[in-house]
Amino acid sequence: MSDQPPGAGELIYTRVFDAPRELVFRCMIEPEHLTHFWGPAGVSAPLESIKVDARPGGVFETVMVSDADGSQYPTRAVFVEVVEPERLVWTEPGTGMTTTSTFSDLDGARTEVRIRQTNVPEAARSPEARAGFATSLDRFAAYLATLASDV
Amino acid sequence: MDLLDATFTALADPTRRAIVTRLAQGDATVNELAAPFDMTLPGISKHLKVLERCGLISRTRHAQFRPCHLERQALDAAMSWIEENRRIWEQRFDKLDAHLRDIQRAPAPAETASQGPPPPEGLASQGPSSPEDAASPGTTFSGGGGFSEAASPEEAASPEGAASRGAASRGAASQQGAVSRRKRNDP
Repeated sequence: MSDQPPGAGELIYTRVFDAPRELVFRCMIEPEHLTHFWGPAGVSAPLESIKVDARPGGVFETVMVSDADGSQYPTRAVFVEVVEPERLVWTEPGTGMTTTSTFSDLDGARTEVRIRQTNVPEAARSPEARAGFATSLDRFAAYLATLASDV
Repeated sequence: MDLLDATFTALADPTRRAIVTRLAQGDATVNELAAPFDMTLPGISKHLKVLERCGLISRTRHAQFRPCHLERQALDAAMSWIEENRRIWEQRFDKLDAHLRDIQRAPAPAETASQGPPPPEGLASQGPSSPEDAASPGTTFSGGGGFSEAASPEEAASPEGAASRGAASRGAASQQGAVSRRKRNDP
């Protein structure tokens, strides 16, 4: 599972946090932390519905609940790789989407978190599909959006 | 989700993305679509079939030249998934940033050692920071706000993307960082 160059169908998000790596890593696997940030704005992730068993084969389950209407968005994933405090990989059996979280220690006090999602079926990420990619999917999306606004 | 998967699979190919980009500007025949590519008509047709199968394009059945038409709805479904996903992670990161600040600013009483040695578990020290660190703006870049999608690992790994905020307002932010920051600035 070495780092490969991103290809189409992969989305990468990075953020640097003012916190040591061990702490940031724990936030990602401990329900008591996850409940504080897992839901985006307007959505909460109740503590009682978060299940994390951080070892290969263990579950990573969350339910996001809309603050506005209470609608629920459950996600069920299974850990593929757990390397504390560096790396987490989980796969959602329902969609095949794999999420790899990499935690890099910058200077002992800051941590870069890199979320890499492969959201297309395995077949789409063949060597041919990878070859010569100039744009990732999300840049393609942004570009198309500019085209659409021109029309 | 199946159709969305098929859409992503279809869009994973650069030629097909180029075709979709061309069709976003208006309908086109197979010949017109093939023109910019060093590819045979059957080769282009194969790509068009993939796009057709997932509903991204449609072709007029009876017209002689069968112009291809981009099905905006199918494309929008894929594009809005990407946008939504991006938004979710951006907001999660915002909340995690705030959460990390909360728990480091007010550690549990057992872990509090406000003037003493660094608290356990590597939490950022609340002790006094050295004046040189606080006074040299060029040497501090503290994290947060560096959300980005990256097209290359280099870009993703670049700390330049991180907004420099908090360093001045939270002077005690990272004493531990001082050593490596100095190293980085050594000629």
